[in-house]
Amino acid sequence: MGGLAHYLEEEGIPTTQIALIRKHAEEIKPPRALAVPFELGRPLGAPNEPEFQRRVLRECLELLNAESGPVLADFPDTAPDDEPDQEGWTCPVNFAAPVDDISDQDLIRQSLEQEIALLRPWYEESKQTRNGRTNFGISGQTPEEIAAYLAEVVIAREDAKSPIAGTPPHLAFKHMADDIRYYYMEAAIARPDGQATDLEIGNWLWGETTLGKVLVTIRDWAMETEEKGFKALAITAIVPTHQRHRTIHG
Amino acid sequence: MVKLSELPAQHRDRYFNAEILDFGETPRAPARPLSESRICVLSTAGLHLRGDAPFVGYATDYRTIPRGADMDDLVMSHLSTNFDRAVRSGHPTKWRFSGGCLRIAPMRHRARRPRQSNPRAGPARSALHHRFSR
Repeated sequence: MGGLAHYLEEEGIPTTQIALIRKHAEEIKPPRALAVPFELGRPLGAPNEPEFQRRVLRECLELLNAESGPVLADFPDTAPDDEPDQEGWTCPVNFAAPVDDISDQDLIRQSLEQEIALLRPWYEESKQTRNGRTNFGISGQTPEEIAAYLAEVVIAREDAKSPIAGTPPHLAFKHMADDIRYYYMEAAIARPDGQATDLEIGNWLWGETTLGKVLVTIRDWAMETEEKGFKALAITAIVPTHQRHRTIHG
Repeated sequence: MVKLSELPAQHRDRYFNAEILDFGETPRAPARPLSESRICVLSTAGLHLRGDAPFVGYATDYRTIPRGADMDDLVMSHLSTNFDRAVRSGHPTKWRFSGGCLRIAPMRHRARRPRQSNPRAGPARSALHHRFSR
């Protein structure tokens, strides 16, 4: 973003920005930047904290009033709710153990469909809590269609056909895997009685569900395939770093 | 989401010690008072309207979010598998840009020519273009 600021300013458009990695702003030297001590990906600090977000935005915009530059200011406060959650979290649904036989496409699909069905009321509850907002829907496929495709990829691998017209299989897989993870995670946080830590949700999804097992299996294959699209996704874009101990290649 | 300091050392070092392109001297366009300014927000969050084509890896294109768009119709695509530990419960509040402080506006502006071009910007621009077009 600091680089973009250089180009925009050269065109006569004044800019100000939020910098999550201060060192980058120190080196790129955009004309105005507010360094913030927040988590990567949370430039405004925390979700659902409109007053705090407004403070960050105001401090950022006020840098436009600086009479000289470049300006690199520091936001003074940490984000709200920045302490580790103390309350325990349990998934609202009691699942059976993940499917054992990862070589039977029908069994995999049925197990995924069962998880999806069990989670559906909680997904809907969670969505309702956010006034209808959900990040599910990027791929345009239903959860059941995604289950069928993931089961096909586990078995047919590079021969699995993309169900999304005009989209190659690896991109269809990425969009659908993102979608279904969000479906599970939004369902998992539906219960208002207790805050979930990020790691608790991750350990549940990747360690206790068929979906986690399916995605780990696909990652294990993708690490060794010569199919370029899936190979490009394999290292970082299928299983998060903090769950790679579950994979063959780590 | 995770703080830089909480990333595994290998990943932290990759971001912290990333090769930074030399953008040269800092250009500085004069800013009008905020109350007289039209504000455009640029974000790398991958936000777009639900009906838009999703972002893909190494994308250099953009989507515009029109003024008045329903914030509940926004989704994020090109999700980062590593940084998407973003979920927390117990916050029933509807997320939105708050107050009248800021609204997402289409990317339209009246560009002016720079008063003085930056002679060192050329190589950086080429390098950036090269990096993004790989």
